[in-house]
Amino acid sequence: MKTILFILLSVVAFSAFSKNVVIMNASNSNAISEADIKKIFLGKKGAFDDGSKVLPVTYTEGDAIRAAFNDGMLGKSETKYVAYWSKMLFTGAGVPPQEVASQDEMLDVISKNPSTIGIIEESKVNDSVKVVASF
Amino acid sequence: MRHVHQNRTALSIGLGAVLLSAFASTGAFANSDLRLSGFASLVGGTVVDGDGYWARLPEAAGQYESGWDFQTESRVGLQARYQAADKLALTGQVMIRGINDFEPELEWLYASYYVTPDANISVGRMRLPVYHYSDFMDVGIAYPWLRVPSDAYSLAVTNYHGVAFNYNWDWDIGTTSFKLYAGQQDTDPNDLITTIEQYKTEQLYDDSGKFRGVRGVTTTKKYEDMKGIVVDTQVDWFNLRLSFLDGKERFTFFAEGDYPSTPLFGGTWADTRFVDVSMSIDKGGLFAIAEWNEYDTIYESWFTSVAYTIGKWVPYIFYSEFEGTLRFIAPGGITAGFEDGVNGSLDDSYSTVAIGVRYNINPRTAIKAEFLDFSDDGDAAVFIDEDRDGDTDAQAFAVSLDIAF
Repeated sequence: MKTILFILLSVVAFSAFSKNVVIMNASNSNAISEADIKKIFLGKKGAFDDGSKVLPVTYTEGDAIRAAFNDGMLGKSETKYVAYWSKMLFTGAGVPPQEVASQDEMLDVISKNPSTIGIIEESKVNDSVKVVASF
Repeated sequence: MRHVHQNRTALSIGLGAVLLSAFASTGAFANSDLRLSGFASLVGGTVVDGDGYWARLPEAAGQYESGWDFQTESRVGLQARYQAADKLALTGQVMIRGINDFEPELEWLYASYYVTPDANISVGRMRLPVYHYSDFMDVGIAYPWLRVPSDAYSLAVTNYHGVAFNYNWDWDIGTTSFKLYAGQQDTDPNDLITTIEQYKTEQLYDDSGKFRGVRGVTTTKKYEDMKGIVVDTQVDWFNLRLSFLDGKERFTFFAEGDYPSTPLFGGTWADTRFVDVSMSIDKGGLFAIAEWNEYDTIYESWFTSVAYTIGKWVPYIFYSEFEGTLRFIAPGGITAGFEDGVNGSLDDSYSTVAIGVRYNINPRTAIKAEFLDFSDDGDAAVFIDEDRDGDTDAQAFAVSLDIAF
């Protein structure tokens, strides 16, 4: 029982103190603001400042980093996020961000494609990506 | 005509089958090139008080006479978006509606070429984007209400064939999307106007004076040279949307048995001018909107609503109003005869107050319940008029299950 409690506490402590960040490919030199990030993940901005296409990447529904990002950066609960993207998708105004299942997959996608922008725990960041914001 | 219609139905069923089998075989919503998605609303309603309630939806959906009806507004939409090339995408949507006996019909089919990531040109069959909710009024999961307040959504044309240019402009603190479009549409027959006319002047009663149906008149409307613009601006939690449509239309009325060969009246071209403005805020748990529109020489309508999210519950209230410009029918309804078309009282004037609640079971599934009070202040009947006085007040209750997948 004590062990379980200890594990639970450490998980809570860990998630409370772990910081999440927004990352891009290390080779991408475009400047990007928090307002830009919001617009990109809501399909209102489709290109970086240099005019090249931007591909936002998030996690599948139910993921804690996705929830923290949607809530903190986009200001939308999961319900509002789904309603918003239903509207965008079925009006032909845009397609929702690509979804990956794990942080390893996120790191892999962002490190290989200079067009992408994603979200991850700060502790997972390596040289192949660069941090552009935190939440 | 019938032959053409059958071909279209066959094409739609074929497309529906392709979409369904694609769903079944991949078991996933998207691969890199093909994205399949869909939505469904199961809607059931009943009349609480009055002779009947009609929400006046496109294709004449939303009629409630007695008992519970789960068919008239229920619908399933399947959408496929295929990225054919780097800058070229093809979008198709099939709607399966209760009002059409759940026969699949091709709602949209258009190709989009992306000049830049923020600018595209689309060509094909698309939704006419006149209202704030035009493009997604079928997608119940995307708004709080059981249905979009329909008194303010009365245009009798929902889709068009043509071209649209879309551009997203990112200006520092906000974004503005511009849509310029042009096209045409032949609504033959026009189910919404036909049904409106039937209840307005063509109600039939048996010997004991009981309503027994409507005369089988038919109306058509052809829309040509449509040119429109939508400017939609979002600044954080504030949205302002302006929409303007200009064109010409030809309305034709056929008496029972005379369609399509011998029109009774109509057949001349008139100008179409439609303007719509909506303002909304979406901040924290609060959502509020007001939308107003004017169909030049035909009607003016608007609605306003407030919805508030408390955990999984979203209670809401709305008020909507419709005012037509015609003044032919005398007070007391069609049985009282006609009056001076210039100085007489309004034929079509009605409003609705509604309260409802949405409960989010999960982000992709919601249930809703709504009670509404419909007040008919015009001289013409809006729906079934048992006592033939032109007054068709009603109270109605409806529930829905809305899903996105």
